[in-house]
Amino acid sequence: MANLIISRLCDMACSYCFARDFMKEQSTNGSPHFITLADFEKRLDFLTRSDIREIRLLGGEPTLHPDFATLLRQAYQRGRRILVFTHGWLEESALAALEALPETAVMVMVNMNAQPRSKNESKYSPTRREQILKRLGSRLTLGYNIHTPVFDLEPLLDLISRTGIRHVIRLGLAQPALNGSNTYLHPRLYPVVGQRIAHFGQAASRAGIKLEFDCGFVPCMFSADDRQAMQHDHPDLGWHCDPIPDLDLDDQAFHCFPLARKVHTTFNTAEDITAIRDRLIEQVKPYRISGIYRECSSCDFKMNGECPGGCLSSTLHRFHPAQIRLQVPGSALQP
Amino acid sequence: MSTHPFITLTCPAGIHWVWDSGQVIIVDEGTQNTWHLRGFDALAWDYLMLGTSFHDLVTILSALMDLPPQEMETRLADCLRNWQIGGLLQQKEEAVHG
Repeated sequence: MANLIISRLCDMACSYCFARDFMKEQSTNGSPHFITLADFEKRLDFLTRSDIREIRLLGGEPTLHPDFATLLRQAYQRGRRILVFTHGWLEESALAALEALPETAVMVMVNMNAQPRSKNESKYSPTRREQILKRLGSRLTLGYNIHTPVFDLEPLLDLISRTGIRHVIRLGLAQPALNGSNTYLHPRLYPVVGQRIAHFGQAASRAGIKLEFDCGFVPCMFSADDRQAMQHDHPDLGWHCDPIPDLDLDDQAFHCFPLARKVHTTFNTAEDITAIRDRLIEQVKPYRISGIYRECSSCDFKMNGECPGGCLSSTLHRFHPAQIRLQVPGSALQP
Repeated sequence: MSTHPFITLTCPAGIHWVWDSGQVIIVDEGTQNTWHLRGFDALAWDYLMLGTSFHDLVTILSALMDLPPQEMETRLADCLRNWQIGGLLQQKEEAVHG
């Protein structure tokens, strides 16, 4: 897998967006908003050489790219499976481009709690989005980013049955962008959120809908009974945090968006993606000894390799820079 | 006028730390080394990060561990020397005129 950022623009204003601050900085220092067709082609060459079978198109909002249809076709012609991450309020041209390709080749992940920037009620109405979801049909997976401890996922079950989309919901936890200002779910709230997810998981299972987890979930946010029930009903749940990685417009690769300002490397398309990923992992390896909680470094789940300790950005948030200025009598330090 | 050398110790850039499972974990981003401080060392580090002076550190730790101040000063100095050797602390010499 590889994440290709093709657009730095987005018409949403999601409070929990961990890419927002970084994208804004890039825009204000004169960097381009969109990938060029030539650079995209080079990225495809690079991914083909690295034997990456799935290409994930990201932003910002990737469907805002003026040549989105062309990029999609280019990727399809390379025989890669494509996954597009979007807020779902697609322009007709982008929607038509997706519909034109086989369902087996192009999948779409829609963020169902995206928050529109504009008050244009007709463009960003739930009704319009539902019509779009129906057209995308079984290409589509619903995603939801949990950023508050109280949330309601039940409407998604009805939506799936009305629209004929995939019977899968992918849940994410809003993570802090390091040195950023986004809203995120503090790990202290994970147990409360875990209970709600477990309860919803039962309803989803009865409706024949599977849950998947994005990165950053931890087994200890569920009681032992809830964890067992969840893993039985939804076998694709996992506890993971590893870089995919994200390939930006200006030849920078990040570990992930929450860590974009800290963990990045320059890459050239003559490299192999494994080498890039290894460099990113190496940068943060020392921090993996810890986790999102004080207890992580001695937790059984972590020690036996089941859990990496939660989101690395949340982990890094716990660390303090060491700053002291200590005056010591010189005689005291003589050996 | 006489000069009593005091040594100023600071942390190099790129040192980050956290309390975790009853120990202090320190990451040195420059060398990619990690340190695990427990017991006395962890306590000393924690107080130092709060800006405690050397003199106050000796006083506090003597009381906490029920050791005479002179013995505590020696123990603390050993600790600081080890941290210097390991790269957690670096030295700037200054002269104090008195």
